[in-house]
Amino acid sequence: MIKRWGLIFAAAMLMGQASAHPGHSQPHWQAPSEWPDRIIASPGAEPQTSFSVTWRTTASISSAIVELVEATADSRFDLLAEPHNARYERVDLEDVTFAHKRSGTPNAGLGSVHYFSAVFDGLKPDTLYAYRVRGDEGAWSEWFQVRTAPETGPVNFLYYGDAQYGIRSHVARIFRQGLLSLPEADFILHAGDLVNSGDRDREWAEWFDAAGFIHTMIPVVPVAGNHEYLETAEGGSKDGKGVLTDLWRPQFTLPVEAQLPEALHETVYDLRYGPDLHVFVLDSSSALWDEQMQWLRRGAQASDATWKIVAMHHSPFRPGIQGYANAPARGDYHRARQDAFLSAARAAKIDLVLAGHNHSYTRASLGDDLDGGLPMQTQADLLGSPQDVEMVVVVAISGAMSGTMTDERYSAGNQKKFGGDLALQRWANNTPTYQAIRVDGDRLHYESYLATGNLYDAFHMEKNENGGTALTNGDIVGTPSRRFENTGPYRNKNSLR
Amino acid sequence: MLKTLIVITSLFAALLSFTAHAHPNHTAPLPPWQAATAWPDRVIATFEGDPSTGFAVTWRTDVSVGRTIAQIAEATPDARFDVVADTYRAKTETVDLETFVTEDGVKHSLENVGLGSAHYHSYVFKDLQPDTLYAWRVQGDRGKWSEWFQTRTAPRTGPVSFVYFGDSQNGVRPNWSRVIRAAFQTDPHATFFLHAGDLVAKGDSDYNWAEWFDAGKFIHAMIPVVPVPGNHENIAVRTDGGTGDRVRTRTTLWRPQFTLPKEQELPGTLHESAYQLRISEDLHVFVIDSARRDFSDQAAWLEKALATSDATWKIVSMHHPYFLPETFDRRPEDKLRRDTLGPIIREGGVDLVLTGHVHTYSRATLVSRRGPHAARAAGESVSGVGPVFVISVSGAKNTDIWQSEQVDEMVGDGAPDMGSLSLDRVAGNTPMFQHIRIDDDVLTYTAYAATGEAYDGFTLTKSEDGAVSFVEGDAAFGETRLFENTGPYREWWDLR
Repeated sequence: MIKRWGLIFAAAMLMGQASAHPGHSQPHWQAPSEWPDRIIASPGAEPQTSFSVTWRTTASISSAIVELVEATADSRFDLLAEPHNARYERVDLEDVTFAHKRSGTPNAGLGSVHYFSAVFDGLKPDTLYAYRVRGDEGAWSEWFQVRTAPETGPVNFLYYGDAQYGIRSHVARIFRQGLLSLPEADFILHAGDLVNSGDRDREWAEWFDAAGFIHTMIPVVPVAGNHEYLETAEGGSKDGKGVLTDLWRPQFTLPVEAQLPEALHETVYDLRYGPDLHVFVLDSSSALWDEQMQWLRRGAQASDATWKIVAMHHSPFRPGIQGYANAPARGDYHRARQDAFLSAARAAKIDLVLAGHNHSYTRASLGDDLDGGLPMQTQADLLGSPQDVEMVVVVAISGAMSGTMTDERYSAGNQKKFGGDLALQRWANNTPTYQAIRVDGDRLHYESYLATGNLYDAFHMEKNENGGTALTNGDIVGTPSRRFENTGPYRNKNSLR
Repeated sequence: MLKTLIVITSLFAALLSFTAHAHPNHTAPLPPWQAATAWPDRVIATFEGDPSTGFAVTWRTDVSVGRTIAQIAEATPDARFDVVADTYRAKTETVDLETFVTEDGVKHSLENVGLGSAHYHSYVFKDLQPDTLYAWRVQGDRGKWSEWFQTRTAPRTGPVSFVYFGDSQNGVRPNWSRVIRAAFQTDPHATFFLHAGDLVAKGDSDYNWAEWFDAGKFIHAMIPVVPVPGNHENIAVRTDGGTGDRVRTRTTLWRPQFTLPKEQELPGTLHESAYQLRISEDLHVFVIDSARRDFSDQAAWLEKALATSDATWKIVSMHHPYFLPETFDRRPEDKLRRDTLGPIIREGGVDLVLTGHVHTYSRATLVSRRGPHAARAAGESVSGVGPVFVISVSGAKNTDIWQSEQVDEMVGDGAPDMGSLSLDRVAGNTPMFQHIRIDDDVLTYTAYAATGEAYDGFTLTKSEDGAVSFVEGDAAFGETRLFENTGPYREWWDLR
């Protein structure tokens, strides 16, 4: 009955579609207006005392302001708010650099917009602030509340892999479910490939709409992925010839590392959270890798943080996907970069690498003789008992397009280089996840959740007296891996509506 | 047939754009968060029947969207959980935003000049599994889908929690948004969010409702909403086709926006305004429409419903408080309401009465006088407590009722003319939200400020024979927040 209705309905609508809607109008969640939209907070250079806010309006608005006040319990907490001026830049959406292979701009008819931003600094640590931003006269956003990072004590954050496909339709549930598991996160990290076409306004509209107000209340730490890079006539990011989308810098206001080349500004930066956590964001799609490695060595070696985390889009390990493991490596270019990273990261004692790109979930440890030559299934004896590890590398996916790795291929692909020093401890296909990470003194707790909010992977790491790190897998690691064979039906991205 | 539909649709669109230009009030375009389009918006989940086996979804489009659909699938961890979704035809109704035609009379709304009509669509998902996460989405025009929202059905047994808000009403989008979002951060796993009336200032104002929906955004879709009608959800209509006397009646936006239970024992005018929800084995919620002049039908229904309920915890929510501070207690219907509903609430085994209306915070219990509140201590157990009565406010309009000298006198020592009512905790100048958790025979209540700090709290424990012991927590003994010891206040007129 229902099916029949659906069929008749679908057929009718198909017939009617073309004539009913000539032209290509933007949905209300994409179109700019005199009202502020795409509002997003990010940490400032010192997350304890600063954060930035970025938003967008039509190009008709050239003077926008932002107000900030300490959030109190009072009805009219807003009466004491201080106005701040915002800087703006114009972005001609039709004129942004677009991928070489395209026949024309992906933003035809969209005209120009203004992106505004302001950086608040000199704030009090661990303090709740309220801010709002204005477009046209009277066109204010609501008041958003953001808490500055604490100077000491535990730090919590969410980490998401590639959204990229089904961003608004499918990833929205992952973004929102993440908030259910960690509503008081200090920041949210997106490890690259936020969208599929970095030059396409419509996809960024989806990304902002999927997160809704979440990105306005919890500062966002975005990592640039290869899909934020566009292919040029000379080549793509695979061979260092891609260019970062013109939309990146206007829509995110991030710390600028003055000692790095300008091409790496706002895609390579570090954030220090109290005594325990130092996060280094790398741009693994940029050709400028040596510069980043020097910067990482310098910064991470000098850092006295208990835990050092690198976030970058590409994993330094081979992904174990079909046609990859046994094929000749994708050029020396890639391999050389992976090696350079591993050597820098080992020297700098990086504990955890958070990545994306492969669209499958993998969590692997690097250490001395971890018996990793074997595909890690249910090695019950490893649950609950600590193992000495050097570094953990996670690849996650939040979007609807799944990768096709297998544990055998993963192990085979990495065997030659790492032998038994690399152990794949948890993996999944067909499974978007979000990760909640908590750093508390000598302990780092890691949890990976399914879209339903159920736990899928867990471990904690502990620093011992001589600077070594012991990793203990949670019991959940003993449950079967999620693979295509034991999970629900999958369809490729072309069927996404 | 189809062509006709398209022609009509385009005609409508043409008419709409014409009217929009014709009215000088709306020369400026509507805010993008208000204007109806062919995409679904104002998407909201509510309970329509058994909360453990179903929920309703309601959404809005412009009038170009006729027949449309909703989809639902059990939320699995799979990348493409959606490929096995079921599709259902929505019920669609047209709401004329400019002329409100009710059974009692007609109102030509000056709030919505130039807005024409909108389509509200709804569907009730039924036969679901209890305590199960579902993913659902709704469509506007073909291909114009909402995102997939995840909503969990209520558990039949085990712990349940919910959040209760007093009047949002003023400064809804600018200032109330932080309150509902802080509540979401405090308990994102709540089974429902209850709004105890006066959600908006003007029940006929599409702009006001746009503010309310935009402030909550996807929260309204993820966590089912239990709306209680208040006096501001009433509008003044004129009888005799708009020329006669002024009569107050429910806004015609209420029912299209919220898909709620219809109590067959109540007259049709009370359908979707007074209703009960048996949330779980432990919790039964009764919603009363207190913004009326006559309460006899609801009193009879409530008395019977309370008497037949075997739930451990019975909670009544209505917009008007059971008791009112003196200055507010002056309309004839206030006395009538107290006289008609009061005894039923007092004697029907109700544990908690959640209300609003006064734009302040107060918590009181029916218990014989037991000395000043400040002289008591957190953790001290009191038995023989009647229902706990809460008045709260979540919006920016706050009324300066409590003065420090009065508070010392009233709190804990019976307020004037309230008999055995013990006023235990009050606040001024403080929008709040209240979190209530029920776990078998223990009910834990915490009131929070918009900053997420706890301001009030107590625990009720029920013994086998139904006797309740009442213990206040530490939060109940902090400094009383009053206008005189908090930040500056200004009336809400400048809020936009």
